[in-house]
Amino acid sequence: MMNKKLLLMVICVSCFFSACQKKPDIDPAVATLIFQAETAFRNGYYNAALTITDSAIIISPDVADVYFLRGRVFTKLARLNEAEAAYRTVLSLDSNYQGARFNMGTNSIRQNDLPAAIAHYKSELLLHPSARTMVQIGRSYADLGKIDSAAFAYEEAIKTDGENAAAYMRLGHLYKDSGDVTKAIEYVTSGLNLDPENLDYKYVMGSLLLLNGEPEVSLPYFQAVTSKRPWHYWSHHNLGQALYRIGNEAEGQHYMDMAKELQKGIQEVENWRNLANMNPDQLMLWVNLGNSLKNMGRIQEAKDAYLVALSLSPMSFALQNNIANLCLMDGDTAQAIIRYEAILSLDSTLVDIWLNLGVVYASSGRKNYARQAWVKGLEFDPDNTTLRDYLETLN
Amino acid sequence: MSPYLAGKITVLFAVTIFISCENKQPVSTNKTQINFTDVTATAGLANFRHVTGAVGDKWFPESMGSGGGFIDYNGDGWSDILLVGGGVWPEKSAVFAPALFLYHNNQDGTFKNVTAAAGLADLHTYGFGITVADYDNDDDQDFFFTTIWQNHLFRNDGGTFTDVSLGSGLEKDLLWSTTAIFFDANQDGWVDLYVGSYVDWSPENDIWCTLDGNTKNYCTPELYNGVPSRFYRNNGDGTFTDKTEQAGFLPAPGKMLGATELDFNNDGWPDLAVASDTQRDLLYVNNGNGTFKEIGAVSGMAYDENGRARAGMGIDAGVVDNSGRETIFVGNFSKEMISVFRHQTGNYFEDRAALSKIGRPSLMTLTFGLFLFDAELDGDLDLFTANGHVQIGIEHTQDGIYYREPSHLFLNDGNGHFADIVPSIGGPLAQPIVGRGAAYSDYDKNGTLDILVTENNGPVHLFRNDNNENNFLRVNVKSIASARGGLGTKLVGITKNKRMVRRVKTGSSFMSHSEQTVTFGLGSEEVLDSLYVYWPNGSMEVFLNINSGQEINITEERGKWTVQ
Repeated sequence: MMNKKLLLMVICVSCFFSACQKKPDIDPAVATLIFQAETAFRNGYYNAALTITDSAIIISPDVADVYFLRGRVFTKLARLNEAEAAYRTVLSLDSNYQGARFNMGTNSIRQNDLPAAIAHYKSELLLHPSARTMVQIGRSYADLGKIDSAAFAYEEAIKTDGENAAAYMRLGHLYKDSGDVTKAIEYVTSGLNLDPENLDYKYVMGSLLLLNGEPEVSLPYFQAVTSKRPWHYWSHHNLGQALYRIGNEAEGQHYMDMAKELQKGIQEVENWRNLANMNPDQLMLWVNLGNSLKNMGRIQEAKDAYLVALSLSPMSFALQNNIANLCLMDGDTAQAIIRYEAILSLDSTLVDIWLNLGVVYASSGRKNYARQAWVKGLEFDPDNTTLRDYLETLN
Repeated sequence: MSPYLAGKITVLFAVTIFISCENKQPVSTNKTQINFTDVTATAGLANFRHVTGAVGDKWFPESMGSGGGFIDYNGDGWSDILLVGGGVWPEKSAVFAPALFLYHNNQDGTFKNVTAAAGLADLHTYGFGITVADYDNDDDQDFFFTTIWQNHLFRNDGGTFTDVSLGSGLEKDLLWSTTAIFFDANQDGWVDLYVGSYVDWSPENDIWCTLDGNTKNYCTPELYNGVPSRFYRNNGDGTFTDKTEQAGFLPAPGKMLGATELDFNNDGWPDLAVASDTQRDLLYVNNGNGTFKEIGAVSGMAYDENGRARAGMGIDAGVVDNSGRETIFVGNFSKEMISVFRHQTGNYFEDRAALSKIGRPSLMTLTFGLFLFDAELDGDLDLFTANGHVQIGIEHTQDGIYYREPSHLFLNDGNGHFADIVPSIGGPLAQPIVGRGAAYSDYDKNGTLDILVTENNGPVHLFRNDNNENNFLRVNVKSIASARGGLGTKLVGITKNKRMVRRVKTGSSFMSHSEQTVTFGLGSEEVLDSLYVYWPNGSMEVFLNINSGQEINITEERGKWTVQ
């Protein structure tokens, strides 16, 4: 699973290349559309993002930025072949375009084509040297079992950017696998010092310490993860193991039991994720993935899955509502309101949505708006006691 | 020079190094002279071929392969070879395939097929594993044979076998069975039987799986429900009684592929470690009365370092370092290291996969057969693994993974640190095969331990160990107060520099059976200074100053040894 966690980190790394690289002579209308598409993409309106880029292409079909953005949208939707085609168009328009080959490499990793990934990253490296790309090369070599090459790549990354935490972490992982735990701890400590709040890194450090026969020292690392990620099976399991080993069997068993429960959810998530990535056009797979993530309390990831599902079924009020609810749970009241209102603009008779909209307003202190929403809901369902009860709380 | 140019030159240099690193070959500094020769053809085993019955349906059991191993069926002291032929699907083939093949050791390095003469030619089934023991205490080697349908117990009647399954109590299960192990769980002098079960599969519930999205390929076990293994108590009258639940073996996740006997807590009672495919591995600690408690998860040996269940296949356990504590080894799937867990204290084990230096070299291979033996007779237990993938054409969808894979031979430096010498010695162990079962025996009685490996839908391989520079002592034990074959007996051999702990047992590896004779590698020592024999009933005997280069017999309570 460590690899999967690191994969998530890599996907985040790809955001590095998300900024538009506008040419000086770009049509202002196209620039505006790119900005709008980027905004839509960032807010999870993937279909809108694609539609806007379509408009941009009609105006000016040879702007690489547009295709680059399309590549990123397709990647988000797990439509990797279309992403690849988009990036190839980018390179046909601008062979030096920064990030296109990097993102193609990342897509190749998702498709398990590691030699292709390495080739893409190396091409990127020649034109745009960066520690991040070197780390990706190292990662690909490591997955291919070419350890010397992987270690070299990580070391080069550190030489290039001594503050690249991922390079230290991955090099530490290599040392751990080769049996040099002392060296592994040394590198992971460096990585953690550079990114001290990174929960993935804390987990890795805890695991290393446990492996090194230091269960007591490992405890705070695992506890930091379990407190922030109550769904994190692995830290619960290892926390249980560590507690057992220091003689605290009751608490250890408690965490082992929790881990056992979480394991089912983790397995469910992985199953749905694999199926969804293999069949990205299957709506229910994304819905089920979102549901399983939501059940585990993995809000942001659940939202991401629902957003892909919504792109496949744009008129689904249920999905829009789920996403809005997750936005709310995540503290993003602005997005929640936008999405509730979007639903109501399509069907203003949905009482539950009025209710939810009122809750968002009320929770953000906008009582008048809340009142208006609940009153509106009562227009369609005058006997709704929940709405009445909520209204009462405003008085 | 501008910073831009400087940066560019640096990058070009870096890429050049990456390319050169790709071609870098591992260099072994091991100076051992160990060498193996493939003697399959000259030994007379070339005509054997395991069959899967595959006709294109890609039914799950076809990817499993079968085991084999060594048995002294005629009691002449020479290891004969028993192989599982696999099987065909009755609804797909009008011609049946032989289920078993027995080869008689001619004592000159060759073997003769005696399957029919031994009474084993008429059985047609879809077979997987064998385990050998004297279940009826009549001083000969019987065996148990697992299949996808009914399992079979064969009683040895003076060199011919009688299928005594019906009425034995073992014939009722019609589940997919895999590895079985005989051991005397309650130490009543009669070996009991643990039979591993895999998944609930039948042609009717076969699932469509694919690697490329278009063509069907073999499934992995996650998609099927596991079936718990069973435990049978030997009644001492030729029959067995199912005591799975009473003995503490339920509940269990199923999908079991390997089992080995050990005594990690040194209480004198046999414990059991079980390898499970995509489920947690299990550790059954004996309660001191023949019942068990499963402590795998708590002990730390059930999962990898991230708490993830692996695809456990072959398994073995032994003392591999100076700690004196037992270490469990489990073969796993590709991209999963071989598991290495050393007993720490109490009921806890520590993960030593990486520290043992086995983890990384085993990461890309898929290990089935796996056993500990002293390959170069230096007194340390080494680790052999037979490897081979389950997905035909895996190399086309996963880089660095191959359907046919070379074996591993990890030599132990005596401190529990291992190095795979196959890349440096080459030879038959380096040949890519679809390895499955694996077993060892000194079939040619030169003191060195030879290797038998089965392939799925392919031949068997007999690899003769040509290392005969070091001295050895081989020991057969026969218990009187305990189960006759001496199963569960612990032997500790001591020389000036070594303390070697060995255990007489069945099971281990993957659906295969190795000889029960214990081999002590003595290196350059010409005498084993002390031999402690800890009999299963708790008694202990000591024998002093035994010359090397011989095979001896020790019978419980006789107080002396005799030359074989």
